[in-house]
Amino acid sequence: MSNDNLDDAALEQLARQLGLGTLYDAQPALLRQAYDGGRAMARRLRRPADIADEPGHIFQPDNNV
Amino acid sequence: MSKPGEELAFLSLVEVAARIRTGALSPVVYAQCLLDRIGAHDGRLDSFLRVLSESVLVEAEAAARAVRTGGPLGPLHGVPFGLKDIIDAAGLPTTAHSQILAQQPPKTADAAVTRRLRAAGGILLGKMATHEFALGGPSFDLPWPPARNPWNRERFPGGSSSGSGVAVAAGFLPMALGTDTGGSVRNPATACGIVGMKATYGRVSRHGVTPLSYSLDHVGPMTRTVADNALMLNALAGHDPADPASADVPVPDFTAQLDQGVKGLRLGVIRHFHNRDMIADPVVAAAIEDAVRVLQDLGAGVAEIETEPLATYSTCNRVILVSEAYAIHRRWLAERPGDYSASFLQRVLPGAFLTADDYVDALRLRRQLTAGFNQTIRALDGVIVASSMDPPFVIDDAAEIALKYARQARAPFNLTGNPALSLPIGFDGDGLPLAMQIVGRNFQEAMIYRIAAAYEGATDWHNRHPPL
Repeated sequence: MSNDNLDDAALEQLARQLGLGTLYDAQPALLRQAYDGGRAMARRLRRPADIADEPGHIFQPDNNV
Repeated sequence: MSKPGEELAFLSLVEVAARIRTGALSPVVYAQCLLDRIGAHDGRLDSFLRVLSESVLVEAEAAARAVRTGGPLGPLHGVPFGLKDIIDAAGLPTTAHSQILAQQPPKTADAAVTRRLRAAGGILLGKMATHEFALGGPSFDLPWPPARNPWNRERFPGGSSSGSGVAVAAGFLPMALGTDTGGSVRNPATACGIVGMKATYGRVSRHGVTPLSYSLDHVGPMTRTVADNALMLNALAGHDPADPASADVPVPDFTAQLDQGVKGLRLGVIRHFHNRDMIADPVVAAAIEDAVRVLQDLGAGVAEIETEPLATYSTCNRVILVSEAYAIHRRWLAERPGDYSASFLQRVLPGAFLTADDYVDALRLRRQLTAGFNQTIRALDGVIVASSMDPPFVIDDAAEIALKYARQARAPFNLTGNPALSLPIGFDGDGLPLAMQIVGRNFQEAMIYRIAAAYEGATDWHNRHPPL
């Protein structure tokens, strides 16, 4: 997300774009918790600095290992 | 003095299989013993979602006939097993312990692992409780209650393969299957005091298993002893073209090294996971040190090793897991959100707000972590690692669950794909099980079993059973 601090109106709009409007209507606090939790998780992720660092090819175990 | 049927119920899988093959034990008598025990006690433990009390006896009678007539007998001939209810069995629905799938029609085919256990002679006895879709839980707002710890039913039995762990520990089954995406075979194995193996990624087919996270999911055997576990993996392992992650590698006899001991082996111990990165309960840390001393006394060389911080692995695992899980559940989350448990929603919904670059960066980090870990252990035969940082906690205390559920060191090996086994190493002051992990080089499960068997042979934790 380019903006990790969405206000409630922006979060509601995002939730509806994602198809989570029913859930937002019923439990807006749950979506806020999920958003904050997801973005906090992303901030904690250590990100490789070198663009040459490729992902593992997860469906080929011989490469994965 | 043991209660009637208790001695039979707690026979090892190896012993049961041997007695059935020689005709010393009728598979019908054994199956009925387990059914009686389930009927007497599972009402308080809720480990089964479905008990196949009729078909198991019909199949046991057929197994008895095969023994009498000299028919072909597989290594698990006549022995009942349980399936975590995210694993398909022909003729039965797979509910994933969720309202979402509660009304699904019966499956038309077995999962690959179900087929393999049946081919080895195993008899399906029931479908086991799980956390909803192997992620939420313990939950009290689902069509079925959560399984409870047989050592103390007020305590969490571990998850998500809860029912499998409980049933094996309680003497309802000698073997069961679980799945492990962030530690879900090893967690209930740890909390229930049994043996749980997450073999190398690709070693055991996932075809026919409801996915949680494609790149992290593993299927694994859960038993009361190390030899039992190796015997079960013998039946499970092997290449399956229907699973895109299945590894086409040779499958050894996992029981072959069980009696070779650890004299001269080189082991590592990762202490910083539990004494720096995340401070374990002192009783857990002390039990790990005691276990290390046992292995040293048996002749193993043990050296402390360092790897990346636990949180680096855990966060990477979580970003991948919830991203993939959200992708799997996106449609149902939009259309039927009210059919999920609160716990599942809390855990999966952060995946809606992780981005493509978050996911790709996690996969890039995963490769670095995997390469680094395998480099670190390249000259070792095995590595000792904490499993849970705490003894089993209270099952219905939301605050304690929130605090302690994630206090574990299992997720790193879903990320790296390395084989990892949870093994009992004692009990706390309240009589609750404690465990460690033994982690190995890729596709070296036989060596893990060798180390675990040596430890098990020098201790008697596996001979203790929950007082039901």
